[in-house]
Amino acid sequence: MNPDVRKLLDMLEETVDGIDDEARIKLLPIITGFVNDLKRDIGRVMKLKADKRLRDLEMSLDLKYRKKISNIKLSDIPEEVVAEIRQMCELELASKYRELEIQSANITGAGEKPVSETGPKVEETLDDAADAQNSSDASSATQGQVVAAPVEKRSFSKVKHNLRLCRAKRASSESSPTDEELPVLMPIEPVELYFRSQAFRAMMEHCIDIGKRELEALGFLLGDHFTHEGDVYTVVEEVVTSELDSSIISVKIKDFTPMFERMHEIEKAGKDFILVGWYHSHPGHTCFLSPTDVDTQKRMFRKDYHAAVVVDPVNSEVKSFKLGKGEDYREISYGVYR
Amino acid sequence: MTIRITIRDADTGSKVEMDLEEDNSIEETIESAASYWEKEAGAYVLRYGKKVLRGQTTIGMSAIRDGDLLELIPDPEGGY
Repeated sequence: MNPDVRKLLDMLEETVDGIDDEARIKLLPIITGFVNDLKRDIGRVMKLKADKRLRDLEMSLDLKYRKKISNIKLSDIPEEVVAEIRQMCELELASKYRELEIQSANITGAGEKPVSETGPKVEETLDDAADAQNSSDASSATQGQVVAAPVEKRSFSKVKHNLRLCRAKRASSESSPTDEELPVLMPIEPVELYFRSQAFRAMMEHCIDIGKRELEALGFLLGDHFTHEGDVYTVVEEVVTSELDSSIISVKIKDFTPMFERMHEIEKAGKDFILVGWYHSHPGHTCFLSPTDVDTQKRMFRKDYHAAVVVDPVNSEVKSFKLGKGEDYREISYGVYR
Repeated sequence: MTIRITIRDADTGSKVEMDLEEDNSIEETIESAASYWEKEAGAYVLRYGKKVLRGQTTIGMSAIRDGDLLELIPDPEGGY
């Protein structure tokens, strides 16, 4: 395992020593969001390595949390830790960008398309080459040449298969053979929903609090939306809720007054938000959109930026959705920012 | 007496101006706005500052004045 990831896991292990269940529930979604962010960023430059590393990371986190569940206690979410992890990963990411830029330049310079079909070996070769690159102390230019040579001789068909979604996304805008030879530069999946951390925390606390009474929570996501290169991004700046008419299987707003008081405050503070979606909880029932939820989404949140977030505070799960084209709905990736 | 109000669609931020009579009900106002934006009237309420407006209350009774801004807010339902 990469030493930085090892260090990161050690740090997390120290942090979660003594976390109580409630803090754990709060912490997990934040880490999940962070890992989603990381996936997106790393995926842009090194999908093959990143996938394996993140699988390791997620698996290790999962094991550690499960292991520590009986004796954990921590009074608050360790945001400093998340910041440190992010910084560490950004440093690593910057380093990988530099390495892969050199690698890409060398592949491009070779000027020949791969010819032979070797199937899964391609992945091994890329991984091995990247490992060699990581462990080498030689200059960057030398590292790039070491990687480029074996890659050039092999077919990318397997890699293309693994990255078909990413390639489809790029196919419309870029078609040169050289670009075809750079699968490591392709994105995995875009994050479509961004939460300001305070908003995410407020939503989680609400769902956890109501969930303790085995009731569903509900609220609105306030924020804005942006379009970049044809992709729509939703940003949640605030969440608002109200007095609810709630059971373990259904939820509606009973009295809008507390919610409107908060919306009035936000408005008076000069913030011009729109409703970018809604959240509600499925305590213990996992995260998905029920027929009732889909109906609500279709009737009230039909725009392409409208998101539906479902939280299961019992199983520490958070998922976000948007209406799909053709199907009822699709899951989307979300991230939490500060 | 006719008053002109602005209604903002909370989902999109778009606005529409409406001329209302004092004896128009909130329900009628919601229906008109919802119809304009092709929404289902029964699933919405109006926000007037901190206040909730809905039902048969009339414009005259709800203290709305000429030039005021109301916001059309969805009334969602979630279920497992």
